[in-house]
Amino acid sequence: MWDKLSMIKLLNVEKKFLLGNEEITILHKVSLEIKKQEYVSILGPSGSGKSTLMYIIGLLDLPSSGDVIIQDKDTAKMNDDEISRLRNKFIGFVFQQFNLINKLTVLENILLPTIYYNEKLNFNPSDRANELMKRFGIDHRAGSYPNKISGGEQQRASIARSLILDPDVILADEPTGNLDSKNGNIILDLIDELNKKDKKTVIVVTHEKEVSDRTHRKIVIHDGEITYIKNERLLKNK
Amino acid sequence: MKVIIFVITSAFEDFRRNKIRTALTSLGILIGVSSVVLLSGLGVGLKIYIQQQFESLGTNLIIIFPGKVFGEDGKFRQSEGTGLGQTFDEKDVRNLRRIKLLKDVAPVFTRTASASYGSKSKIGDIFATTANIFPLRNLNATAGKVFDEGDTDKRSKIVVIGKKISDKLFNAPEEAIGKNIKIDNQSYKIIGVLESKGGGGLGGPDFDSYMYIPYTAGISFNPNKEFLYFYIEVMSEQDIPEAKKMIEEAFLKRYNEDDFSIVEQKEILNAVTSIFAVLNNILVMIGAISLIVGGIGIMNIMYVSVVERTKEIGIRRAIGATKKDILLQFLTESILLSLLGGTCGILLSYMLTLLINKYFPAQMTAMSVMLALGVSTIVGVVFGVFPARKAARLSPIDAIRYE
Repeated sequence: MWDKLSMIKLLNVEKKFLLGNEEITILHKVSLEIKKQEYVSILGPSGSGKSTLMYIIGLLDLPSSGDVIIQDKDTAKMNDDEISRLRNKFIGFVFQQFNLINKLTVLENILLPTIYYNEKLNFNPSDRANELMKRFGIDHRAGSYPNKISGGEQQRASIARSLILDPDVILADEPTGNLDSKNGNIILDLIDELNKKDKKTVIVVTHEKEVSDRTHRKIVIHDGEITYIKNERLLKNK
Repeated sequence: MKVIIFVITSAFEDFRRNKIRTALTSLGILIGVSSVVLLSGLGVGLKIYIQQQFESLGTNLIIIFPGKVFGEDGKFRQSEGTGLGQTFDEKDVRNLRRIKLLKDVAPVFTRTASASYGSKSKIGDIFATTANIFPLRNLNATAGKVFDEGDTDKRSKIVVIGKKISDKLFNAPEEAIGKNIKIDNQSYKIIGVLESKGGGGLGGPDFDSYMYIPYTAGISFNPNKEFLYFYIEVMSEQDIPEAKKMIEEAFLKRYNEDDFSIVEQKEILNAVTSIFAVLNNILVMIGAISLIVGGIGIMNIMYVSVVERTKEIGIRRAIGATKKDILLQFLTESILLSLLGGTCGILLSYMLTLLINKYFPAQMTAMSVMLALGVSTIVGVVFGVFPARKAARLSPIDAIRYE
């Protein structure tokens, strides 16, 4: 029976790479579950496999074996188009490198996920984008190109982009990695808010303990194995 | 739909950012399209030009040539010795004049001769014939008059000269009238100068360098009274097949089947235009090769673009673009690039056509424009599909990690 609160479930997920003739295992039979509206961090040093884990959770990468179940749906049974659609609707990404497209304006970047949304939108995308830009204090940058604005502003734009289609899950990969501490804190406060105010399931991948301390649960990963899960606190579904 | 609109606007944004690259890439298509459009336009113009030339020779015209001019297939015969040395005589003229369906019969003897007046001279062709030639070939005098039956009967040493001869020897056509010129040392009095008929520029007969003399007077050039061919006007177009049959019957009494040809103007026109059509097709195909080269240029730059934009592809995939969305994006870009070149090519060939039109009736047809746009699109698809597929097949994770 499926747990109504289960958002993402990984069962015995393995990821192997071939390096020359040698097979390298990045993730060893990882199983974990992330519930609705949870605020989780995946903590680990570089090379621990946390990024690979995040990419698999984010449906950007496929496991070598094991199952990734998103809201009761086994992604192994989906084709590439269905997985793309799921990424589009279900997950909002916030990257360390911001990953905004430099030739598009901030507004166009924020609107980009709506371009690939294959159903009728039940909101006006421009109004929504303006609302988000105002909320994150970048409305004056709507027409600017990403490489002409500060890192903090770029990351706020990318958070706005992640929210434009109102996804269930926000996946943040080292969101403060390219920012100074002042801007980093602004971003972390915003991410806290996404969980608290926007009721999003938030997963933050980080190597910094201070970042993971903000979350309700830490998944510690080391050499491709989960070693520690702490502070489990389920948020009740309203 | 919104993906397409977005893709088109961002492609144009890309072109704007990479002006030089865009211009150079579409240049290949531009050259290809403009050469194809221009060459096919020249072909159409040439066809019209030939038709006009033929029409100016008069309608309902039959020409009798010595030998077999056309093969069974209606094309010019390639075999040797078609009627060389074969000529017709005055008896044939009489026989032809007995056929009621024929309105006019003009026997023709022609040879190259030099016309001179004072110290000026010009090489042209003597055209020794009857007065019938003038109405037959729609020849009108711009100055003076043409000769008539009476002049033929009187064996008058008179000549009606073409415009080019007049221009070379005299300041104005009016000035030529009444003057005696020497045609290969024989003196002839000019009674008329003809309106220009054009021609001659393409290696065809130079009608404006003809000197028309009564064939009776031209005996000195043609002592055996031999004629090289007959110009015949039939009463009406419907009579042409019957007239041909009757002429054939008459001629078969005196000659072998292979010794003469009865040719309608239409047949000559078809044969000539089919030759030019082949030539034109070859030229257009050469133009088409440059289109292929242009397409390869697009393919090349699209491959570069895919590599340059790997990260962008990864970002788009991460936020939900499907493989098809990415494929569509790159395919649209290559098609637009190709169409851009194609459109500029059409504009260029349009301007060149206008320019050429001052000298030659080149024509740009709607068909060639549509074809050029269609071909540009196809080139864009064919040469864009491989880079676009490469882009679409990139794994999102590898693409987004690409630096």
